[in-house]
Amino acid sequence: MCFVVLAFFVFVLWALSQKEDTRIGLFLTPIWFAILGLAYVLVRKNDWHRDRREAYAKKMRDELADR
Amino acid sequence: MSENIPPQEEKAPAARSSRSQPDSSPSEPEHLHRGLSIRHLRLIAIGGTIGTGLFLGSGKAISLAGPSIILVYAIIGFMLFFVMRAMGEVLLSNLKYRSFIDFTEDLLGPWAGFFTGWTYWFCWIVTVISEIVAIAGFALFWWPEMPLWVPASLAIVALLALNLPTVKAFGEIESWFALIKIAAIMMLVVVGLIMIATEFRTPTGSVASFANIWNDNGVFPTGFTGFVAGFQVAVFSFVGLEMVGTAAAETKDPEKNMPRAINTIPLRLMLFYVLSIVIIISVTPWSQITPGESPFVAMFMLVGVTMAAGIVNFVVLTSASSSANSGIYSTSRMLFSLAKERDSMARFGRLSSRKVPANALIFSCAFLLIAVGLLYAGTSIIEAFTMTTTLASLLFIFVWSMILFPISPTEDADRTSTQNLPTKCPAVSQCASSCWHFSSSCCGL
Repeated sequence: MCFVVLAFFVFVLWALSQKEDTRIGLFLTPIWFAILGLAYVLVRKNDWHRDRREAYAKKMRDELADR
Repeated sequence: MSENIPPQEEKAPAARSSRSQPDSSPSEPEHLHRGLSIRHLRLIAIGGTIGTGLFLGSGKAISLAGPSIILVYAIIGFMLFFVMRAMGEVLLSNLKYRSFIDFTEDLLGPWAGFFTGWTYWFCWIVTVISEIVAIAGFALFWWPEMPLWVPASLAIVALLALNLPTVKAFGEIESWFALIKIAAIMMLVVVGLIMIATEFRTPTGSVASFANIWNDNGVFPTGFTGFVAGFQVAVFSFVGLEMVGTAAAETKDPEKNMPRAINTIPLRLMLFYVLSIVIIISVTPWSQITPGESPFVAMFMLVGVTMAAGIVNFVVLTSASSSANSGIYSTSRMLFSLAKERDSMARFGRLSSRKVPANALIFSCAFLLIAVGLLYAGTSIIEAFTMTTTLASLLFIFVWSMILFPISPTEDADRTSTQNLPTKCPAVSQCASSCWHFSSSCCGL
């Protein structure tokens, strides 16, 4: 079911690209994600984030090993 | 999840209450919530589904799609109901999760927590900006001569003043706002039904009747493009729906409250969205609805009582303020939990002496000043409103997708493990296949 909903979201994205006034909003969205991506590249360097990533990777490995 | 942060606290962005925590002492520092009662939560959850998107945006939506807008609202509501159920299932699968940010972080990795958390913060900033734009528009009803920056700035100051004192103040005011909104919709439905029953004749000569739904060039008068255009505007009406679930996650008994809160979503959406739109376009044929105006105010203007229209304008103003209020509440809490996860600056994780994340609140409010600039950048209020609501809709679609991702790969496994939960919908598979056909045929065109 969630793939149906995701497909629906893609349809809405397409719908938003169809009219001039909503297209501006559509073009603004990547800017936000660019800023966020840049911020994350900076943030992920600190020790705290590295530890958290490692903890997550370990958890995933453990879960896979359990199966 | 880190060890030095008690996972029971300071997590969820949405409305919070007092899930009992036997193992934490009441004098614990950096304690955000408490002060929201079940009554508050219930009203906030109901009120949260009604906002400016419905009161103001529906005018544009109706003029784009005609009566088929009813179908548009129903389809979006149906789809989002599944997002909420998915969210409910994952939230209940582990009571450690206080919001969807927690489980995206835990199941997809720290990057997902960072992206979802910050995007959700930005979602609300953009939404509140559009609410403030709408507030400025509603103020024109009474003071057409007033410069637009005055109501916009006043709204920002009021939001700050409402949220700085205590959480309790927020809960109390917000539950009153919610009551007013619900009463307004009920009033619209009752007055509309009376107008239809008495075959009310509008100044343009049309007669109020349910037949207006299909008699004014059919149900799809603007064709497929118009129908699609309806989605552009209508999606925004549903932003904030996820708060229904996260608020329930904060209650004492989420296993009982969450399924109830989520399973009543369709009923609420039918009652508030579908019914009110049906009434509006029955009273006034869709082609006579002005896109830039609230059809709710317009319908009461028809009755000829300017007083009534004034009251409804007050209601729509209240509803915009209410959405802005809960938006600001959410953003400051979001920033607070991001700081706790060290995804944002530590100063946003500090509480004022009144247990309110004051720094986070002021930071979020500073962004709202963009609204004042936007009011003067475009040529019309509805233009600024459309732009910000589109951006907000897109950001919310990202967040809703992030809610769905944790269950996508393991969907079958989750379904069996949560089979006994009362959030199941009996006709899921049938609904799923029919709506799959719908989406794929639309995408194929």
